[in-house]
Amino acid sequence: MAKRTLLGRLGESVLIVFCIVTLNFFLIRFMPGDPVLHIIGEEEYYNLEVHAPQVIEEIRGEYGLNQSLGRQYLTYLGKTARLDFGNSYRTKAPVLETVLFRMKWTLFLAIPATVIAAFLGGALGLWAGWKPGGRFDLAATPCFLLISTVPTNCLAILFLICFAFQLGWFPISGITSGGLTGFAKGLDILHHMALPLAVLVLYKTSSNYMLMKSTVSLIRQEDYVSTAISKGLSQGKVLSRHVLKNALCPYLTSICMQFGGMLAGSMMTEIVFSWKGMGTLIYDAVNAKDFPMLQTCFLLISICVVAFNLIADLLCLAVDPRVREGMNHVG
Amino acid sequence: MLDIEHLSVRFGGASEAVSDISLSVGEKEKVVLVGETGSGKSVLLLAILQMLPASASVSGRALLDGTDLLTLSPREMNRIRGQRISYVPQGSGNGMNPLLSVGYQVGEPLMIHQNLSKKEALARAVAALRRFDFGQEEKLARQYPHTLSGGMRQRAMIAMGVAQGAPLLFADEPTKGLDGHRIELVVDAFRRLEDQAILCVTHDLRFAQEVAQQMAVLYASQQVEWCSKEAFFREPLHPYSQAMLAALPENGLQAETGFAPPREDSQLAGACRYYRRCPWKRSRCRENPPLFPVGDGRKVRCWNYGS
Repeated sequence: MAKRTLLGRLGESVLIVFCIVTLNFFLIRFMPGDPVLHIIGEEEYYNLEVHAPQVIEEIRGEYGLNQSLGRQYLTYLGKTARLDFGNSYRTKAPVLETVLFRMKWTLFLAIPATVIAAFLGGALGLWAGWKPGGRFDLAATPCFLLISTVPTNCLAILFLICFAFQLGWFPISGITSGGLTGFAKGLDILHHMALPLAVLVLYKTSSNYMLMKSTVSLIRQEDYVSTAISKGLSQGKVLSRHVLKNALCPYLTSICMQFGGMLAGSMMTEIVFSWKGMGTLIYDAVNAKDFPMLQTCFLLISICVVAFNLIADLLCLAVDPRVREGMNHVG
Repeated sequence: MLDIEHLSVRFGGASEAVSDISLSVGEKEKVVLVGETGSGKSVLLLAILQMLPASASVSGRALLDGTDLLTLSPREMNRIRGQRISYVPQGSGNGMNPLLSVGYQVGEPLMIHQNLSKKEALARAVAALRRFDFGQEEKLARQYPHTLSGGMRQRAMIAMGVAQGAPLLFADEPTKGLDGHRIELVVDAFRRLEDQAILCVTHDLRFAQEVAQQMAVLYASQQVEWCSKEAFFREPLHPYSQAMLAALPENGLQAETGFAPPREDSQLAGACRYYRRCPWKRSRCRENPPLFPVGDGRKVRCWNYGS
């Protein structure tokens, strides 16, 4: 029964990805204007249109744009299946290579940020929610509330002004200073990473803290928590076995959403710190109307979201027997 | 074994939720506290177990075999809870953790207080469930609380309370939200606890009649009568006790008049708390009476029985 549910969820995810792939194609195709205009640029296009319209036709043929829409779609599907996403309009380099390279740097920043913030926000939120109105809650909640109301790019610029520009503790921008190798290079990257990482961790921690705090402050009023205390369990055991376990499902779902959104989620921070990750890539691609690049980025982002959604469902399934049975009824 | 002396509980600046209650529970004795919702019954149990929120201030003494529980540290209290006194919460609510199996939860106190392994505790949990004749106890131990009916869950929680073998059991409205047949099952479960003392809170008089030896009647956070079960049902002394019994179907279903639960504004400052509703009120009752002893260890808070 559980296997069938799993397969069902997996099939659902594959279907969603297919829909995204299709949407990705048609969205771009139905945009106003001649695609060739985007490929060769406005000035060149109007120049050619007047002086050598046959060149435009040649380019159109080269890109297969003179074929029927259905045929184009099939070609697109075939190439997507072979992970051939074409070349960038801007750099002419293969899109996938560029995207994967940039993705590596985004993940290098986003994975530690999400993991650290998950533990930090969870632990602090657990403590504040367990003792609402306590000293820690009164001190921490306004701070985290303030952080989560400030937009990330604003916080990032503040950090940049404070710690990089005024105090000079950290480099202003980039990933590495260049010319370094081995251990020194690693240290240099960490040095560059410190500020954007701090901004991301702070931001994610505050939202995790809020979620965990509100979940736990509800759970602590549940009868089963009194039951656990009445059994003579120590506070640590009440928290870990009874409170945390019940808070886990919503919290894990939220963390998985953060993982799902991590490819584009740190865009603002990346831009402020000139971190050459996917965020800046998308930003530049939008400005340059680099459609193949954008399409590939969007596709990867949506696959990431769908995949982590699936993981969130599976985690809740593992934690909560009620979810397991609920799904069995449907499956 | 448990002597409660002048116990009062106050939340912040509000009026007392429990006001000067004194009663005792002997070895293997079954004491039932009855009273309306809001009369402070549940708060009393939680106060003794030190499980009230920090905003509550508790005064008086609660002596368990001579040790005042109200002076113990949280760590010392953890050794009393579950081991010397076990607590059975209301079953209609969420008294069991929805994410843990019934067997685990019944065996949990054993893992803590007797350092049993998970497997040994589970075996003992199954044995504890068997005492209550559930049928298919191994299967039940693997089930999760949401798959149980209300009556099953309530009985499983009683099993959870007795698995550890604590000599004193606190039960909070064990029949709340259950239908007649399921109440019978709970009565049956309580009757099997011959070796344990019980302090049970309920507003179900019929259930009290089945399990009690000694009765305490609470009204507006005060104890108004303390007597044996037989005396209570044969010849209740306090007008409130009489009104409660008169409201039973076999006694003509005469509903009590006035507000229930008793509110601040329905009382006269300094007067007997039952003043507004009392059929016998006279000028003397503008002063709150103490508990008068009336023989046979019986006590009543009413000017008609002392002066």
